[in-house]
Amino acid sequence: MIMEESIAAAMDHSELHLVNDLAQLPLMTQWVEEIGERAQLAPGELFNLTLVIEEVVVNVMNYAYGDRTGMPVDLCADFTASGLVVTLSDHGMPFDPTAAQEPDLDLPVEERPIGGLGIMLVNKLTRRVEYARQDDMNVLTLYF
Amino acid sequence: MKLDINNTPDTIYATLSGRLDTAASSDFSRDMMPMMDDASKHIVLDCSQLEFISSSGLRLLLMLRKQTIAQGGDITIKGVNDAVKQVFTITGFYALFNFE
Repeated sequence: MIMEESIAAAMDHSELHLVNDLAQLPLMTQWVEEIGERAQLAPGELFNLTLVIEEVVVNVMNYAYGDRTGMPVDLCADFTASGLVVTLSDHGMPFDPTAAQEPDLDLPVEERPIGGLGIMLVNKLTRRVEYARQDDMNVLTLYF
Repeated sequence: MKLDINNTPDTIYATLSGRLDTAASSDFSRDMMPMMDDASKHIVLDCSQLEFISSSGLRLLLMLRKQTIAQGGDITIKGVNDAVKQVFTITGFYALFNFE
């Protein structure tokens, strides 16, 4: 019985440990496809999950650590009764993406800023996003 | 990601297929140079085989759109699937391009 419970727990949780190197993104895509399969997501839901996780991971890889390389970017997924919950953690400088301002969509194309689109997609394609600074880590929790 | 370009005197016909994510964006940035250089033309970008796009890809399409405005050309995007269309809509990009 204990063994069955621990197998069940392992099935409900998955982790991926990356470093801040964009060359590792294919590993992230593969991991997201695996958790999408386990959560039995529809193709559109898998697209959104992949998009949101790419946006937040790329942001951390590009900006959290400045010039420091080989720094940890950790993901974990939990399959809960109310849906999939993905947590992204890094030890970089404090940054709360939920407090970032979304770009003005009414600007003409010539004046459109190049940045800020990622957080807009994250906010629209998740049920909820929570940020916490815990033990010198940025912890971003995404509820799908 | 794969970008095929057929450059004719008035119109550039391009076909974008696969995934335009961050991992593919440096290749796309290089491969789209013929369109950037000739942005006074009408560009028709067939996206019917485009499976995925993230904000890295959108940024490059916005650069191309700005270049067409600077040079007097325009872009028509054809055949985007529903998931990709949703990304264009959420980010307000739908209003920036002609869609067919």
